[in-house]
Amino acid sequence: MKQQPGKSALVLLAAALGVACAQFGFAQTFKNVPANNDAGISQVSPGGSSVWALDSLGNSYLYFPTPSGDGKFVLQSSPAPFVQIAVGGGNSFLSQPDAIWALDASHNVYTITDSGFFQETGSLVQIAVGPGYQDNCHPYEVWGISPTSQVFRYDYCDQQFNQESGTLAQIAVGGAGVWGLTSSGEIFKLDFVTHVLNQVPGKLTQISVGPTEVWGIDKSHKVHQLNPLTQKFALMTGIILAQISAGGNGVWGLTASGDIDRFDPSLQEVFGVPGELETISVGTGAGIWGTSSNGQIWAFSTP
Amino acid sequence: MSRKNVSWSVLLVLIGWATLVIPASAQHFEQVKGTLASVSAGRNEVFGFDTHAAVWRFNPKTNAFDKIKNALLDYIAVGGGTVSQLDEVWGTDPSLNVYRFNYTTKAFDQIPGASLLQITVGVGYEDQCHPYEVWGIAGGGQVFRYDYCSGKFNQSPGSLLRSIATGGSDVWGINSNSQVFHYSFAQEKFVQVPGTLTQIAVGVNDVWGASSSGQVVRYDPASGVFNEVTGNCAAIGAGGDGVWCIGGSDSIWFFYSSSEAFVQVPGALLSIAVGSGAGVFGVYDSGQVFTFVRP
Repeated sequence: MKQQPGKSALVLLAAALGVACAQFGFAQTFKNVPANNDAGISQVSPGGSSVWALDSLGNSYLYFPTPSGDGKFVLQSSPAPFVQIAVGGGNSFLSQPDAIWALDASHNVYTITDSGFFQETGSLVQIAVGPGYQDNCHPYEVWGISPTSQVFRYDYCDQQFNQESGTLAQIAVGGAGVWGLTSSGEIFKLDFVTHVLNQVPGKLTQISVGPTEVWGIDKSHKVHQLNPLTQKFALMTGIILAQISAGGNGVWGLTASGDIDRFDPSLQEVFGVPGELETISVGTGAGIWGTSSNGQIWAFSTP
Repeated sequence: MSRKNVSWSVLLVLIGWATLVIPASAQHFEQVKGTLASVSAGRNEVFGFDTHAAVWRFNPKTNAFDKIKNALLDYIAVGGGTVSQLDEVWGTDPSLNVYRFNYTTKAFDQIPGASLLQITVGVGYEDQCHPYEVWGIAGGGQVFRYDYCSGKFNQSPGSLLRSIATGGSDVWGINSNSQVFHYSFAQEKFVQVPGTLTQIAVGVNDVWGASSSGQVVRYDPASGVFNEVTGNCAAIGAGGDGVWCIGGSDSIWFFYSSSEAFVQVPGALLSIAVGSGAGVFGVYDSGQVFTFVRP
């Protein structure tokens, strides 16, 4: 078939423009980050200044960036195989490192010290870490749930977990406070003055706390955002997600099929981002990270 | 000045210092070596300039600011980075020339033909040619957006602003009548939002402002209006590291979302810069620089 001259010119122009943009290499995408891992990566946890990952054997890895922005995960010494790692509360500089906490399959609790991971007293099935603003003894807010659903908060002065009121099945910590869900999905917010978990209307299956906002997903995968004025969760019409993560690097989610969505605050809608992930996690400074079904780690990059 | 006045001044300075120097185990603002007129924080970079327009870059290894050679700027913006992605650093000089920091040469490269009075930098999600959102205001109030593909600033038609802010790929501005505008990427223009503000700050997923009386407001995307928040701020900053404000008598306030209220933090600052990972930095009276730390 003979091409029309105009069409050829357009194709040429499009190709030239494509090359021009490709030369700059600018594209907002998830890029694969190498890890010298023994097994597939199952969890990645970004904080303010660091990113940690766990493989399916429970080995822990720390991300080491290079000055050019590239980097890789390096295996770290762990006293036991971990099942969860929580990172947060830090900023980019040494004056404010992230707090790093981990749990093993026997519910033992570990935190990192200058000499590596150290076992703390306590037994938890879930742990969450965020920035602390309350008092000298809580420079980071470290909260956990025991095997019997009791709620604990770590005191850095006493160096122990102290039990708080209430029972929860899920807990999340961020600049917007400490939030939790019961096994039946009831939502609770901690009142730091009374230290009571106060119920908030609605039911969710997942909750995520950002610097100033709180997000959740209900059993129908509908997304809700806390309205700061009413202190009630409002349905975000048309947004369906299976996973949600809010942090200082925005609000991101995954659909049930693993498609990646970014919440656009300007339009109050989600927009698809190329790629497929099994998990997604948003840091506060450390960026947006995810794991794919083949156990690889991916980091979002705009340039 | 009499000896008595000098003594009182010394006492006041000591009292002022005492408010800043609280026990090392507490969350507090800690002085960083250096003297600056203004500071800007991103994810992994903090830059500032002094009263002579000399440019300084925070060195986390020495916990001090290092001077950037041959750079004279009186406006600096830092942002858009993550742990795996560098911040962008842009600035303008007193002649309105525009510069971008070059990490390879560790110097600022001038952008040919660009003339801006103010510049703002944040993360960019819109398209390949805008990996960071870099927006500026020219001397006449015209608004420009930087295109990384062409290497040029393109004018955003029909909008005249006196201040501009970006965060989370969202862009907001205020014009000379204090009217508020929100950039619509779909309509490719700034759309007016009800209310008047003298200052605007765009966080990760929220927009904050202060009126001429210092009344703090927060944008409600559901209703499209700014709602008053209890608080009075002479300056407000928002980012991944929270929402902070400078209140009366140079007091420092942090918005504690858990109680939906501003909580005072010990210390005093004249200006505050909220990063998205780099932390919170501020400048006080004689140019002393402080950063918020936890033990």
